[in-house]
Amino acid sequence: MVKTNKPSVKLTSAQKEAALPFVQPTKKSKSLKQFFKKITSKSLSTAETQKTQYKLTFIPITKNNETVSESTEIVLYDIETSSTTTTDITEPAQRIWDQDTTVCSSLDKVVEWIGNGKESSNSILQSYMSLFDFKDLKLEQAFRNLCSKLYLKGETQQIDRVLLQFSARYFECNPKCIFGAVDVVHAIVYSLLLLNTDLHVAQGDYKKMTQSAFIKNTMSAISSGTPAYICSSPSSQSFDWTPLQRIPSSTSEISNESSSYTRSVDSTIPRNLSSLSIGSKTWEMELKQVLKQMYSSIRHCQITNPSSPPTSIHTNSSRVSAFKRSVGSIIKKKAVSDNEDSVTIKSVRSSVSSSMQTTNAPYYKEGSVIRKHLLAAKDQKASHREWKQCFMVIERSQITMYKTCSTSDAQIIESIDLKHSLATALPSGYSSQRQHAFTIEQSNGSVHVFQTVSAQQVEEWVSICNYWAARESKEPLVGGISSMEYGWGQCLENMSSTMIHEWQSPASPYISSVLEESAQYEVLRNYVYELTTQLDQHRDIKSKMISHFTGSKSYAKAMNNWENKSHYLLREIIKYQNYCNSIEKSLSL
Amino acid sequence: MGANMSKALAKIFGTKEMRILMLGLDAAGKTTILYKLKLNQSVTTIPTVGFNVESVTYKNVKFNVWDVGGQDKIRNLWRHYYTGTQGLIFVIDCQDRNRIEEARQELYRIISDREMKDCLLLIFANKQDLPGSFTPAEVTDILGLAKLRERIWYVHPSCATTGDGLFEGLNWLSQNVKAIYK
Repeated sequence: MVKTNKPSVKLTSAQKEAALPFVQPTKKSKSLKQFFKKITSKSLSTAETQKTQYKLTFIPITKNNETVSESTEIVLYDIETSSTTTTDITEPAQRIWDQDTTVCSSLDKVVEWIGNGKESSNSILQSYMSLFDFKDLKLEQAFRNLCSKLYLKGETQQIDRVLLQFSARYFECNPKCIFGAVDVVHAIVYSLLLLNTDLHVAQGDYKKMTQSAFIKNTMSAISSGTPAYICSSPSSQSFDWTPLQRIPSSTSEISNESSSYTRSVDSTIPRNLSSLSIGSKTWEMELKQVLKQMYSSIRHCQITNPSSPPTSIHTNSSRVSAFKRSVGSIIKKKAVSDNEDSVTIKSVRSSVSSSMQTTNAPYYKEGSVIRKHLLAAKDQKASHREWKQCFMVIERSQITMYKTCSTSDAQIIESIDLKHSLATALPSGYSSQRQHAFTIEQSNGSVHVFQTVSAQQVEEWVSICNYWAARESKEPLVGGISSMEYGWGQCLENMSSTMIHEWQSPASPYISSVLEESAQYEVLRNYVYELTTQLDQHRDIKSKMISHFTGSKSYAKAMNNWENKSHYLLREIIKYQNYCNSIEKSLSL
Repeated sequence: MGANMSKALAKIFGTKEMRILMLGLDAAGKTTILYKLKLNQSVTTIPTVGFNVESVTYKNVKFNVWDVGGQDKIRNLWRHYYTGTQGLIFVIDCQDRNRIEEARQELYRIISDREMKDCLLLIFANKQDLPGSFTPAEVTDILGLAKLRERIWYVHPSCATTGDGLFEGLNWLSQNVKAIYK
C-alpha cells in the first residue's frame, strides 16, 4: 500500500480498515498493527528523504499467502534496500519465520542474508531468533528445532553469526541452564555443528571425531573462550541447574522426522534444582556428561535440514548428453545401412546440425576417420594404441568419437577436450600406408593421430579443431608467485645454497573462454606477447645461472629446470600464435 | 570393507587423498570457490546440516576441502582439523584493502601453530577481476611471505566467480604434496 512514488505515506482510517479484515486475528496481526502504526506515524518529510530506499510493502500474512485484494500491492522485499532502512525489523524476521518466499530469493539463502554481519541484518537475525521459544528445551533439541526451520547454509562466518544469536536466545530462554554463559552455549553449539559435519557430511578417508576428542575440544574451547569464568572465584558465581537425565533414551526420542519442527518440551526433566558454581570441578564433570550425551545423540541421529530438499546444483551436461543420445541413435541407423556411404553421412550431418542451436555452422565437422591414441601423457605411451575406425564429431571444443561397427550399438569410444590442445597436419603422412594424417596434442601431453582420406580433409579437421581451441581456451591468469626455488629466483642473489625443486609445468585453465571472436583475439595476442617477454627474460638469466651453479651439485637440476621451462614457454607461444592465426583467419572471412 | 577396497585401489592406481583446510576472512570468496570446484563433479545433495566440506577429484587426487573457521575464542574447536592437514588454502579478498592487515594476522595465527608447520600454503589472491585489486606480488609483499623460511607457499591469482585459477591452484597442491614429505 505504501509505495515509493506515492506522495504521502499516511493511510486513511478507511484504508486501514480495508486492509485489516484480511488479517486474521492472530499474534501476527498484532505485530502488523504495530507495524501499521509505525508507518502511519511517519511524517511526510522523512518518507521523502528516504525516497529511494523506503520501499515498504504491506503483505497481509494469511495462511496460504494468497493475494487478498487488488488494492494491496505486493512488492518484492529488496534486501539491499532493507539494509538501509532501520524502521522495522520484526517484519522481515516474521516473514522469514513464515517462510515467505518473497522475502528472500530462496529460503536457503536466508542465512547468507541475515548472517552477513551488517547491523541491520544482525537486528533481523536477533528478531528472528526471538520468535523461537527454547524454554526448558535441551540445547541439542533447541538446535535441532532451529535447523528444522532454517537452512543453515552459508559461509562459515555467516553460519557462526547465526549460532551466536541462537546461543544468546537459548540462554535468554534458559538463564538457569547448566552452561551459565552465552559464550559457553556458543562454543558447544559450534562444536555440535562441527561434530555433525565430521560424522555425517564430510567424505574421504579420515578418522571420524571420537567422543573423547569431541569432549576435549569443546572443554578447551569453553575454557579458552570464557576465561572470566575460570579465573574468577567460582563461589561468586553460582546458578541453579537442571540435573540431567542419564538415560540415553534421548536418541530414540528423536525420530528421523526430526526435520519437522518439534516443540516437545522435555517434561521428564526433574525440577529439583540444585546450585553449582561455574568453572568448578563438579560443573565440568556435569558438562562433560552433557557433552557425552550430545555426542551419542548426534552420532545416532544426524541433524538435518528442513524437510523440503534444497534445489540441486544443475550442470549443463543434461543438454549435452541428450544430444549425444540423439546422435548415437542416428548413427546407429546409418551404420546399419552403410557406414561408408558419404551420402548417408551427409544426411546425418544435416539432422545433427538442426538439433544443435549452439553450433556455428561453418565450424562444424563430422566424418569417418581412423584414429590411434599414441601418447597418454608426455613421454608415456597410451595403453591401447591400435588403429580404430570411428565417426568423429566436433561440437565446439569437444571432439566425440563414436564406434562405427555395424553389429553393435553406436557407442562413444572417446572424447577429447580441445581446449589448450593443438592440431597439426603431418605433411608427409604418418607412414607410407597412412599418407593423410594429423595429430591432436592436449595440454597434458596426450597425443592422438587421425588418418583421413585426403589432404583437404586433413586441412579441414586441423583448422576447425584449432579454431575451437582458440575460441574456448582461456588464457591463464598471470602473476603467481611461489616460495619454491627452481634455480632462477632469489638464490641467484645470495650465496647460501638453497634447495632446488623440480620445475613442473603449470596446469592449463579449466574454464572456457566466453569472449567474442575479436575480444578473444585481443586477449590471446596479449598473452603471446606476455609469453614472449617471459621467454626473453628466461633466456637472459641462463648465463647468470650457469655462473652461479657451476661447481654446485645443483647444477644439473637447475639447468634441467631451465630447459624444461624454456621448452614449455616455446610450446605455449607456438600454440597461442596458432590460435591467433586461426581466429584472425576467421575474422577476415 | 568398502573403504579398505578403495584404499587398495587407490594404492594401485596412484590416486591420492589430500586434506585441505580452507580459511580466510568472511566474504573473501571461500564458499564460491568450493561451489565452483564442485560444479563439474557429480553432486549428491546431502540434507545434513553442517559446515562447507566438499570432496573434489582432480587429476587422480581427491581433495577433501574443509571450510571451517571462525572467531578466535573457539579456535580450539576447528584446530582439531590442523592435524593431518596437508594443505592450507588461504583466501584473500584482493579488493578489500581495509582488511588485508586483519587477513595477515589471521594467516599468521594459523600457520604459526605447531600442527601446521609442514603443510603446503596456497594463497588465492581472489577477486582479480575487480578493478584496483592487489596483484599476487603485492599480496606477497603485504603478507610478508618472503620472510617465511621452511614453508612452501604459492600465491595464485584467482577469480572465484568464474572459476578462473582454481584448478591451477589445486594442481600446484597435488604437484607438491610430495615435496613436503621429502
